[in-house]
Amino acid sequence: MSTLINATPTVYGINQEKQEYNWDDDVEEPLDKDEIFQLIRNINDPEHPLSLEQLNVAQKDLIQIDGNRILINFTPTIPHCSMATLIGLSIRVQLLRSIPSKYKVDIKVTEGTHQSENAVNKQLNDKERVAAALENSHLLQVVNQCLSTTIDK
Amino acid sequence: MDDQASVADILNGILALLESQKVTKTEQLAIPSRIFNELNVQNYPQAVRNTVFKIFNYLMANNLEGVKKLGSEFVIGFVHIMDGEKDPRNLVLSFELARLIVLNLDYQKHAQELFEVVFCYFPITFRPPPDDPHGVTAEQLKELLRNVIASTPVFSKYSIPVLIEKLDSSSASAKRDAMDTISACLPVYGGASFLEHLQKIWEILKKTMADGAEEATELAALKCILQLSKSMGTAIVFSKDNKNLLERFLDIVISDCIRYLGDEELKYAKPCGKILLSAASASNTASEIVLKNTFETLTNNFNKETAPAKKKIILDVIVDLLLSSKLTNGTKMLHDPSDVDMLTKTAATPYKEASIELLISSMVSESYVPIKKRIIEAIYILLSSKGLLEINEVELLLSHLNALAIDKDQEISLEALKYLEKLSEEQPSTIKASSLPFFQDKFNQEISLDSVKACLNALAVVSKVDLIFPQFLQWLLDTILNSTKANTVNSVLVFTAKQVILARQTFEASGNEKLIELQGDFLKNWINSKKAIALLLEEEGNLKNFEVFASIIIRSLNEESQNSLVKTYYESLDTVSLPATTALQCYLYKILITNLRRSVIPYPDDIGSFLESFTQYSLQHNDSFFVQYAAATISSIVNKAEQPVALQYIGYFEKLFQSLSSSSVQVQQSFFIFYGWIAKALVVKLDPKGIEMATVLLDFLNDESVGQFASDSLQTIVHDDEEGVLTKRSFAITRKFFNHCLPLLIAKFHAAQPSTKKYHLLALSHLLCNISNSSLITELPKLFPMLIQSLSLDEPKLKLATLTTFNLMAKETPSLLAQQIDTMVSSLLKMADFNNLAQGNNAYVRVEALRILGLFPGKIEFSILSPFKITIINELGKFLNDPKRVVRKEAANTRGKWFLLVGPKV
Repeated sequence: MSTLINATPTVYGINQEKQEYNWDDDVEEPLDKDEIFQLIRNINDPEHPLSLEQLNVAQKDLIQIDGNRILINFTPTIPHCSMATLIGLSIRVQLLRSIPSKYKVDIKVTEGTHQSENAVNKQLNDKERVAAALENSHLLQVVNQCLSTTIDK
Repeated sequence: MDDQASVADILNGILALLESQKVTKTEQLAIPSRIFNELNVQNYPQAVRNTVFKIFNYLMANNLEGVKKLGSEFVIGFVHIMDGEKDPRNLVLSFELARLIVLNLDYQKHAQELFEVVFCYFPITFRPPPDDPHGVTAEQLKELLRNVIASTPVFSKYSIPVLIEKLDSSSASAKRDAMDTISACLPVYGGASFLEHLQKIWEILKKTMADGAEEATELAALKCILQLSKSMGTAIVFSKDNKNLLERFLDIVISDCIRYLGDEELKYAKPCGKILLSAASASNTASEIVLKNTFETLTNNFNKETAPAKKKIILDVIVDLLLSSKLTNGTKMLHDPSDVDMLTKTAATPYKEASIELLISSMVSESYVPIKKRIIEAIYILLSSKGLLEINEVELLLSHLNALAIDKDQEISLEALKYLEKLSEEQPSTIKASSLPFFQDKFNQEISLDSVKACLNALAVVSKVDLIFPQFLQWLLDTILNSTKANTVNSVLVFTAKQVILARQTFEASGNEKLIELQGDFLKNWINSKKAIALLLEEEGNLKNFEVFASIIIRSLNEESQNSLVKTYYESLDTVSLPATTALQCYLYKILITNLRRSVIPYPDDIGSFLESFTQYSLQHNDSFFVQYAAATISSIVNKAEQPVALQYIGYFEKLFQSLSSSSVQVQQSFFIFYGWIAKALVVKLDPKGIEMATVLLDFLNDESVGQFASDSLQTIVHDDEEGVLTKRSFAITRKFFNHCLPLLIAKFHAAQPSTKKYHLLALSHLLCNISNSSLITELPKLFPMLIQSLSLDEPKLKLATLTTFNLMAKETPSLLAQQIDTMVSSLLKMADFNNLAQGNNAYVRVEALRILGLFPGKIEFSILSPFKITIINELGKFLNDPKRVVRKEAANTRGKWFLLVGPKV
């Protein structure tokens, strides 16, 4: 069995507040960072049966929206986490699937929280590299696995 | 017994003889030795061995004194017989026998043999085969075996080393079993027996906790720690350093925990907190020692730490320590105003001032909600600890808790209210003196609707108990009678009245005479006050809320009080003669007759002519509000009246109804309102006339001018009233009605002209909304064409009702949908599109359509769905742009599901 990169991560509480929705068709609701957070909070960590929210990898305050540009920072649990790219890729795919294509999304490691920050950022924000990664059926399967926990939440 | 073939029958014979009590006690005692000497029991099949154990069991139960005399002969004989036993049924019997031997016989000489023959089964790995007819479970065996091992301290020298070895097992189940067994042995063996292994056991338990084992294992480990702490506390062995066993054990535990808690990453802080709580909960002394050694360090850590998530983890441990003190001293209960809490020296006493200060100052300085919630819990723990707080301290903490209960942040207010409610049950007199006036004052001062609501809600929550309820109800009534507040506030008052009375009803099942009387007076005073009555019409919903609690109250009253209530009602009327002057009084009349005992119902002397003139009056009255209530009133009377009265009235109404075609549209509508209510009264009492009337109604659906009214009328019949109005109808009635109407409706739909199909579909949706799913499922195939057609109409309500049915189909009968997958996919996609808003696709419809599309991937075969995958994913992409967030969420979810639909692995 391969050893885990971070065998005993710190687990944080999750926000169990029930979402309340406005159903009035006359009131338009623009996309906000809470909505983005709801989309990614339940993504599963590749190593543990824990969500990105539980691991504090994704946080609402690390999301910024400016017009059609969205910046998402995420924080790996440890600075040498080799799963960082995979986590970023999962966030990338989840947003490709669940927000309109008019938004331009940047996904970056929170500054100073990873040894190979630049390499990871580059990988995640290069369209071709992302597309190439998703051609790999094994990798896609792993990403789908991480995203399966976001369904029906 | 030499004859092997007949041994089974012989033993059965012996057992039967024993059970028929034909064998003398002396003769009985010959049986075991003969079996020991002449039978090699383990060579025989299971049934024979089973009989042997049963015989022994019988003897132990009925001739214990005799067996005692056999002494160690019996013990060693039993050991031989049991040796090698594998059948679970026999093991159940023999474990029990072994326990009885230990308890009753002189086994000392053979203690080791006895232990070994039993312990060799540990840990139990038995797994019953599927459909096991014998019903022996692994848990049962584990527990019986555990009872034997823990039956005597004599076993300790054999068992402890092996148990510790198993404790370190890599199998979670074996580990758990070992921990449970140690927990069971500790009180029997005594703490001293475990002394030399203490460090080793602790290391293993600590590791188990730190590794994040599954919950059951963790619980077993914690229980083991608790038992260790308990048993060490009762052991009276001192060691060289003059520390007793408890101190020595806790020293080890605390020093490790403190070290982990000091770790910057706080990785093991959570398990440490749980461990300390378990160790400290064992006794007051344990709690004292733990608090003495950890409290200060922890509070320092807490104050130094800046990251909220980490602060919360430290706080959790502090709160657990306070909890351990409460657990060892008990919960404070003050039920009577004269009850006093005597101060005692609890483990938390030396730290209470520091705790209070820490909690109150952090409540102000911290903004992280999970911390605040934990503080609230800690305040409750202090308040409910017996013998801990001085009166002024109680007041201080309560004042904070009260304020938190109406905090703007709902998460916080809910948490505070939860604990105030607990306190109201444990110490009602304290809450009555503190929280009640606090919320009442706040209510009077507050202006914003939200704050007013919060105060009333808080009052309702803490006022459920006997000691507080009367005072609160009185206040509520006074407030309503003298209210100068806005209509919206008054409507919250009415709502609160409903909440508390409903809550009382569930809070106390049996009737409390005093309280019932109190509620009766409450209702009387309400009816008597013109102002309170008028208030019912101020806001929508007031009347419904009033009806709910009035109905509860009326039904709880005895005959005498009901009579007096009726009297009050009449006195409140301007004129005693009915038809009542206003719709409202008419409605009050309905509430009364629906809920009063038959003998009390105040029918007018000539009820027949009353009903007729009332009907005529109502039909002429073109006020739809009034007509609705009048019809509901008539319905209640018809439902409760004697059969001849009802029949005569229905005859009258049917005659009147014939003038329908010559009436104005408004009167026609009133006619149908009455029609629906009258039919309803009959349907709920299973009168065949009710179904007959409904059948006639179905014909009117095909009439363009009144089709809409007829379908509304049908809705009145099938719609279940809210609690307290008409008795909830039984499943059978609904089912019967549905079975009668549905086929008719389908036939009429197909025969209907195009312009009236809509009314049939509306009627269908009313039926669908009010029928249980299980009844519906069998009818779905027949309904399918109609349902598809419903989706093409621009009525949101109709669409939604239909979609709800499709949702059910997708879950229960997906194959039906699969047959029409083309149609389904295209119409669902159309409905999910916000550009088609004008076609009745409101947000509810769009969400429901998307949700059903999302059900397909889990329910319908991949081969059927895969041709649609690309189209659906592309189409759903557009809906991610929906102006409503709730729709976007559903679209994203459904799209995610279709992306994850990849078919079987090849």
